[in-house]
Amino acid sequence: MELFDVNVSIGYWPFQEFHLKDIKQLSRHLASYGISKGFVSSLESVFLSDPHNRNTILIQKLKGKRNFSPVPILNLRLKNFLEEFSFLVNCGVKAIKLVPSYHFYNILSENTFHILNACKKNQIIPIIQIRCEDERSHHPLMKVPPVNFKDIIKLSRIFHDLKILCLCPYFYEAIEICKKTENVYVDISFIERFNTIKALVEKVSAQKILFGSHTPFFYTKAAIMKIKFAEISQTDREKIMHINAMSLLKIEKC
Amino acid sequence: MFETNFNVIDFHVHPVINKNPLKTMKEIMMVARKFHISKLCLLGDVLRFGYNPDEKQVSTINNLTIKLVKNLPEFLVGFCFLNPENSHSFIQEEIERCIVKENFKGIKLEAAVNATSKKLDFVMEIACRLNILVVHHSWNTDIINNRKHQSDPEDIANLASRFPQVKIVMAHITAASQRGVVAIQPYKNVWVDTSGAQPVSGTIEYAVKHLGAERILYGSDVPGRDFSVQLAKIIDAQISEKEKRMILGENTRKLLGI
Repeated sequence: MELFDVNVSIGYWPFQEFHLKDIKQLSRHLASYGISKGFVSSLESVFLSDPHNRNTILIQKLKGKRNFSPVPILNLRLKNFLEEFSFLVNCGVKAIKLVPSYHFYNILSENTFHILNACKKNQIIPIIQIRCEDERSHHPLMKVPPVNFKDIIKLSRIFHDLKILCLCPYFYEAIEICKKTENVYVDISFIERFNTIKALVEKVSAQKILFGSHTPFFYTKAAIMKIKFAEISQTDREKIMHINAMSLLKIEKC
Repeated sequence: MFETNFNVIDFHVHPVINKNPLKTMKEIMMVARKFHISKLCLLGDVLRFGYNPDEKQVSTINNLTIKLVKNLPEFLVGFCFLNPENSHSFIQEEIERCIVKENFKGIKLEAAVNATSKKLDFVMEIACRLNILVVHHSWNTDIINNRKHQSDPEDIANLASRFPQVKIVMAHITAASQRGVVAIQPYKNVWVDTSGAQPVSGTIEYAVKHLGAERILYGSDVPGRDFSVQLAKIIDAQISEKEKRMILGENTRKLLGI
């Protein structure tokens, strides 16, 4: 069972204690679940106004680890975000992540258009984090609204020839996003209801769905059991587990 | 196939009032069996008519639970859903109908009134007299507000202190969070179920450390949730196999005498 996890983070989060303290522990942890490849972001970058240092550290720490790709977070409120993007491209990153709700900007802003144009030009996958936590469990003084999935749909129509990955949508958001766009993909970490993946695949193509565990926020096994025991065809299962992610990255073998 | 030695009981499942609820329940049962779940506790389609259902609506909810348990008696364990806002005579009759005649194992209270309300006293006194379990919904109202209807873990603790002889199960451990676990910790007549919410890591380990595994019951909140995800919370937790076994079934078996 090969797994490509598109939703992994490392670092400190003020509202939850994680037992995975560094890349070494994280790699060992993921390997123990059969996760052979993944996208990893730095959690500190979500809160820092300028995530440059944390992104750089992440890239350095993942250097030489062929299985896990760093996904730096860009803050589009910073004037130099395009320079930072160029720096990241030069570092060889394959994807960048946007956290519009935490960095407090609208996804339909001009800066988003600039960065998506830059992604298109440099063949970088833009990843949009819809939420990090269930809104019903936020700190009462830090209620961070999710990115509006309707705005993602609008954005996808402007950038119809760019593949965009959305992390952490709920079931109904994932359905709407996948049904109303050609070029937006979703991960399974937050999607849940009875017989989750079967219900999802009955409504949208398995081609649009990627395996994401949201480790270390969630128990890693939750996403694994969701896909492992899903009542779907083996072909669809493999697409979700790793084929779709590889195809997004244009790589042939996991 | 799901490989495990655990004999699982799911403490928190809701039937659904739809065109063919028996068919829906059989589909749920088929998937449950795949995960070695041998029994489901049915708590009623409790939010079908909103927070404050009238007597006719409460009867409709319980009628469905009765019908399903009669059809699948080996697999389903019934709970009587009640609204403390309804008349005492109706509550009495409904308990007679579900608990005494149909041998349901407990009472389910949702979000009609906060758990500190005196309106619960009548239900709790009967529960005490009949020695039956009360399952109470709970959530952290710091975030979702609406404390008039919703009950914080501290409200459940208050209820437990007023009725120390009644066994209470507080639903939704993830929503209760660490604060909720600490709130109910001193009240030995309170258990917590693991149902619902996202599979937030560390939740089960914290509860085991502060309450002991014997006070935790596995529940899923299916069909709003997925057996696979909700089971993974226990299976993936860094606790002993013995503790997992207790949470996944032994504690419920002991508590309900089944």
